[in-house]
Formats: sequence, C-alpha cells, structure tokens
Amino acid sequence: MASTSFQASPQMDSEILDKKEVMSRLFQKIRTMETGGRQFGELTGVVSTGCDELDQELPEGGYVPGTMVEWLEPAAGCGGDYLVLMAARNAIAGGKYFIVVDSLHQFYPPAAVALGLPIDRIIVIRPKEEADAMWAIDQSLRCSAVGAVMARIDNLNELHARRFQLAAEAGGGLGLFIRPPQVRREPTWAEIQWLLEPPRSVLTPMEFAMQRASLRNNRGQSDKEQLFVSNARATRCFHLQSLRMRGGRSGSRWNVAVDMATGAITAERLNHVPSSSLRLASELAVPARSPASRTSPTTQSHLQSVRSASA
Amino acid sequence: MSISEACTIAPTIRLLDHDPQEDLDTLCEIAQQAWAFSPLVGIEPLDEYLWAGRTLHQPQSILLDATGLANFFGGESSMIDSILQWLNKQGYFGVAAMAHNLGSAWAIANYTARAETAEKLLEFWLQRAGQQQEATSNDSDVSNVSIGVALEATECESQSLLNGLSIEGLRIDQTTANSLRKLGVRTIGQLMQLPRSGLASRLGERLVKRLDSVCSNQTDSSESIPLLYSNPDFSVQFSFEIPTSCRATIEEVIRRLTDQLCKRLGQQGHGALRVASRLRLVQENEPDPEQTIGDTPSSGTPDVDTPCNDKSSNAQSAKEQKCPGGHGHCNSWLLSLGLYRATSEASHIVPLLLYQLDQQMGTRRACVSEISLEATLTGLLRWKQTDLFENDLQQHHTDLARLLDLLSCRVGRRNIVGAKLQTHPQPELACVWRPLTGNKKSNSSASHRKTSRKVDAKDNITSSLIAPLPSDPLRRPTRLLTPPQRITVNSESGESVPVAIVLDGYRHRVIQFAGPERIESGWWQGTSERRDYFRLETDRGAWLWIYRNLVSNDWYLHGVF
Repeated sequence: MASTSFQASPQMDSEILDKKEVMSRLFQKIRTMETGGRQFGELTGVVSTGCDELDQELPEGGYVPGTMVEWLEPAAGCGGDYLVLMAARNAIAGGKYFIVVDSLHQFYPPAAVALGLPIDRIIVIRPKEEADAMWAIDQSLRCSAVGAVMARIDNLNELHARRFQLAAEAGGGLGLFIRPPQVRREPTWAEIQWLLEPPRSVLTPMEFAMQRASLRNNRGQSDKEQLFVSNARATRCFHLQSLRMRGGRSGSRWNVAVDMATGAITAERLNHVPSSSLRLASELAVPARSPASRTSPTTQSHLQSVRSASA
Repeated sequence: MSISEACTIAPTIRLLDHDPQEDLDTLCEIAQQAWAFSPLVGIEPLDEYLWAGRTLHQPQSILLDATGLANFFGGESSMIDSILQWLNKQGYFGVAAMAHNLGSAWAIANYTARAETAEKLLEFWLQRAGQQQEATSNDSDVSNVSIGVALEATECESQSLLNGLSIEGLRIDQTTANSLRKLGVRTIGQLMQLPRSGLASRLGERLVKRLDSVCSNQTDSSESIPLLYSNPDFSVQFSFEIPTSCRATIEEVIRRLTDQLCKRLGQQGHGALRVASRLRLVQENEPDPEQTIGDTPSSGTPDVDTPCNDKSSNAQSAKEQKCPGGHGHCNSWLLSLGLYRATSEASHIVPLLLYQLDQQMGTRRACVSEISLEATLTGLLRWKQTDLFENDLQQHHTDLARLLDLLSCRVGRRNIVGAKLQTHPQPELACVWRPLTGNKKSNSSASHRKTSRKVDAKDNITSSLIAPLPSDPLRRPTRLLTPPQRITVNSESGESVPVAIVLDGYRHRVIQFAGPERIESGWWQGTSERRDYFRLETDRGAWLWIYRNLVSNDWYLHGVF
C-alpha cells in the first residue's frame, strides 16, 4: 500500500476543535462525578492555600469550603502547622472563627497572630478525653460561624471521618487535620491529602563544620558578647506531595519554600505527573499533524477511513 | 511568705500572676459544694476598706452555719475533720474553726496558731510537690503530713482563746489598728477591758460592733452569714412532696423552673451568664438491671407529683433511711452552665441542663427531693433592632454563642478558652488564657504593662547581623511545650550552638540554626529567667525552638515550628 502524506484542512480543524471541546466536557463530567455532583468551576468562596502555585494545582483553585484537608507529618515541626495556619487565615477572612482542638495544650497563639490571624477569632478547645475531642470537632465543623477547625488526629475511624465530612458539608467550614504518616495506606475521607517530607538536599557534616568554622573566624568580637549568628537559609524548605486530590490529579511533588522574613510561601514542582488515561484518550482523538513516518501504516489507513466516513 | 523565700525553699516552683477573678470563682465553686455540710453557706462579706492584716481585698473564707448539724457528723470535731478531708481530696489545705458565733469563728480561724498553720501549709505543699517523699522513708511518715488545721472552741473556751488574739481578728481597718497599737492595745482581751463608751467616741461605732460580734456574752449577734445565693430574685426551687426518681418528672420540673427563672430574668432586663441547678438526693442506689432510668410512666403527660415508683426501694422508707455516712441528705448533684452571652431564653438553657443531667445520672438512679435553679451570674441583655437584611456577622456571633455554650456544657467551662497577648519577655507568659463562657464582658480594656526591659542603643547591637523582631512570622513557634522538655545537646567546646540534640532517645543532627535570642525577665517579675533561644532545623526536617538556661546551663526544648 502506498503511503500518502497527511494534509490538514479547515474541516479537519473544526473537527479537532469539536473533539477537544467534547473531551473537555467529558473531563468535567468525570470530575463532577468524582466530587459528588459539585459543578466544576462554579464554586464561590474557595479558600486559598496561601501559595499561588499550589492553588493552581488544585482542581477548584483552592480548598473547597465544606471539605476536609489532611497533612501527613512525619514528625512534629515539619511545617504542617504553618500550612494549616495559612489556610485557616484565608478561611476565616469573612468574619468567621478559627477553632483549634488542642488536647495537648500546646497551641501557641502569638505565632498565629504573626501570620495574620486575629486573636479574638481564635478559640481553643482543650478536651480531656478522645471522645470529647471527636465530638468537639464534629460540633465545631457543623457550626456555620466556624471557618476552619484545626486538630491533630492520630486515630480516626470511618464513623468519625464520615461524621466529620457530613458536618463540614453542613457547616461550610474547613476541617484541617494533621495526621501521622502511618495512615497513608488507609482510606481517607479528606478531599485533599498532603504528605510532608524533609528536604533531600541537606548539608553534609563536613559542610556544616566548615560553615561553623567560617562563622567563628568572622566574628572578630569579644567572646562575652552574644552575637546573633545564623547559617539558616532565608527560606524554610520542605517537600510536599499530593497523595489524594479529589477531582484532580494526585502524585505531584513540590518543593515548598517559606520566606522567613515575610512568611510568604512559594512552591516549585519537582516531578511531572504521570499521564493519566484521559490525556492519552485526548491525544488519540487529536492526531498529530506529522508526516507518515510518525505513524504506522495501519494507523494511517484507519484514520483515512474514519475521515472518509465522516465526510 | 515572700517570693524570694518561696524560691529558696522550692527552686522549681512556677510563678503565675494573681488572678482575683479566678480566685473568686474557685471560692464560689467550693462554697457551692460545701452545701453538703450545711444548708446555710456563704462567703465572707467584705467591707469597703481593706482589713488590717490582709494584703488582698477579696474574700478568702467560707462561712457555714453548723447549728444543730454536728450530731449528723458524730460531733463537732468529726465535722471539722470531715470538712478538712473533703478539702484535701480536692487538693486544698484548709483551716477550719468552729465557735459559737460568726465573729469568733472567723477570728479563731484566721489568727490562731498562725505560725503552726504556716508550717503545716508548707509541709502540705512540699508533700504535694513530691519533695517530702524523698525525705521520708516509709509511708507512715507521709500519712502524717497535715491536711489542715482544725480549731474548735466552746463558748467558754472561745473567750479565753480570743483574749490572746491580735486585734486584726476583729476585721478592722489599718488606721484603727494603728491607733490601738499606739495606745498599747495589741490583743482583743486588752481591748475588751477598755470602756465601750470611750471606744465608740474615739474609734467609731464599727469597732464596737465588731467587738460585740466576738463577745461570748452577746447571744443575740446581729451578724449573720450572707448566704451564697445572694440574689433571691434569680433563684427558684421546687420541693417534691414525695421524692421521685422518675426521669421524666425531673426533666419536667427543670423545664418549668427554667421557664420561671427566664421570665424573671427577662422582666428585669437581665440574662443568665452562669446557671446552677442543684438536685438534692435522698438515696443513691446501684443500677437496677430490671428497670432503667429512662423509663417513663404509662400515663401521657408526666405529673410533677408522681411518687417514687421504684420497685427496689419504697419511697416512704427512702425518706426514713439514713445514708451510710450518717447524714440526712447524703448527696446532691450540681448542674452548672457557663454561657457565652447573657440569655433569658429557656429554649436555649433547658437542653443544656438536660444534657448535663444525662451526663450526671447516666444509669444511676436516685430519689430527688428538691430541685433548685439559680442564675449565679447575670448580665444585662442587649437589645438591638433587627436589620431588614440579615447581617452575616451578627448571625455568626449568634451561632458561635450557641456552639460555645454546647461545648462548655460537655467539655467544661474552663476548657473553652480564648487567648490574650501580653507584652512579656517570657514566651510562656506572653499569652494568657481566659474562659470564654460564664464571664461578663468588660468594656474597658486594661492597659498592658510593659514589662520588657528597655534596650539601650549602646547595648549588644554591634554585629552586622541584626536579629529579627519577635513579631516576625516564624519567629515564634506554633506549639509551645508546657513545661519545657529537658534535652541533651552535643556541642563543640567553646561553642554555644549545639551540633546535635538528643530528643526522645533519638539523636538529631543540627543542619541549620539561628540564634541566640536572649530573653531575660526583670527582677521585679519574680524568679529571674535568663535564656538563650536557638531556632534549629534537624536532619529529620523538624524545626525546633530550644533554649539554654543561663543560670543552670541546662538545655530545654520549648517549642516546635
């Protein structure tokens, strides 16, 4: 069979555009089904994560009110609290309240105030029993005056998780939970689940020792004077991976940097999200405008027969 | 004792700012529970002036009328011992005195054996702090630690006891006390020997009245106990003719009482901020497996006067039976609510009370003989004209109030807190927590005392690196450990910055650090704190806030970012 060269035509362009539109609508329908009937792109009051890059990654451009978000933190102090407070700051912007369920009595408000949360709209609940904590989270999420509820939850059974989900949907607030990384393999009711990881590139012991020696030599001051010395970067870095993203594509990894002076968050994508079946389908529906060498004869003849049939 | 003396005895004590409101609240709570010992309970009434010998102008004593009650406790001594044991179980050291009138009892309790009281109080607190356990070798020595001071005086004994007491025992002002000391009168006995007519003309009628209140020959004392339930207008009660254990009946009575109370509150423009309901019990039985507490009578509407239909105990015999402790009424249940906003809506208060009743009763059953309900703290109701279009902020405030009331009902009023920032160098004192419910909202804002040390421009800013300000983001941790956790650090010789820290048995290598940030407290703030804070990043990715105590040279983990 002689191969023929492929040439685009206006009719074919309109067909391609139609198919693109069809694929887009199908994609939206799939997303609507995944998100339980929520119309894509029609939501208002979406809560920003505090980082523009992460907002663009999310299906709705931010956290959807009435849902839960989880951060899996490997150890205390890995940045989960900071991300929660940034989201909470945006969630209570409309005059709502921020509730912290703090069983350990460790929450420290000055840090939240420095990030922009108003002190008079921060309410801390200190339950003694775990059952009381779960009940308090449920009741707080159910209240429409609450914009965000923050809690550290180690064990969450399906009953409580489902109750939290229904309560959040009823109240319209955000459930912001920090959980241990062991729950990664468990099913989750959260809309979005993030995994926090320490940055991979760290100073080796030799580099660290050299840096300290450099600081010591550059002092030139009396030992009695306490100088503020630092080898810290201007930003605090950690890695963030999306484990679950309802209505979107999970698996992306980000290098998140927090400016130590201003508190601003920036993120840089580290990996390319593996192609999903939807993308492949869109590629097959729109054939590439390339010479015959790029496609097999079988595919070419098939395409020709499709075009002739549609004409 | 002074702070310096206390710090010398127990170097590890924590100093907190005095909170008079919290003291008063706690005293009122204890007084409400003291109803188990006497039906007439009150808190010492204050005069407009500070009493001589006192440093704080606030109530510090609870008054009980024990007339005719000592027999139920096996005697006056047993009654006093029971009270002290009850206080000790709650963690308090008490001084209890019983006399024939209010003034004598107050004077004896406050000014008898003060040195002995101070010693026993110190023993008590050291024992609680655990320090005495190291000094004692066996349990018998620990049990000998005093739980309080018991003082008892009959009518004859009290007079001789009062004669030796200081004149401050008469609750007089400092000016009068100074005048008496100038005259050489230092004890009540010396004062009694002076002619009364002269006292009244020179030192005032008040001194004479106070002297009369302690005299044993004055049987008709005009001083009585100001009862704790001081505002009868906001107190209602209902007594059952026959005690009942029917749950539906009890709930119906609570509803009706709440309606009455709310009606009274509304008529006077007040709303309840704290509500207390007391259920006096006749007998408390074990759960009956055949009959649950939730059973309702067969008739439709429960009658308030439905007698006790308990199969296991006869209602008549329940009244005649004595409790194991030998008391007529051995127990009572207290339902207390703290509300976020003053309210006079029964529909809001009743569900909260019934919820607490459910938590109290559970599966237990008991015969209730009387139910009382009181608004122990009220506030003015604020009326505002409703807008044509509903304001979101107003609706948020309303919804939040309901949520906080419900949360405090289960979690407890003191566990629903809001923060208030203070200008204090010590991080743990820079934030003060206040309960959000059951408090009157103060309109006047207290000025913040600036306790931070003034920084001289010629001071330590000599380096090219300028330390960031405490208000910078990420300058303070998001979580603060209370108390700070002691850690072990590895640092190079001559270096103040650690190379690694050992935390929870794991070694964390320090990757990044920033510091020190020196924090010192002023000498006028109590125990001097001098700390050098460092912000560290470890190889596990954790950002920690540690400090070195410059006094003891120990390292502590104080916060987590």
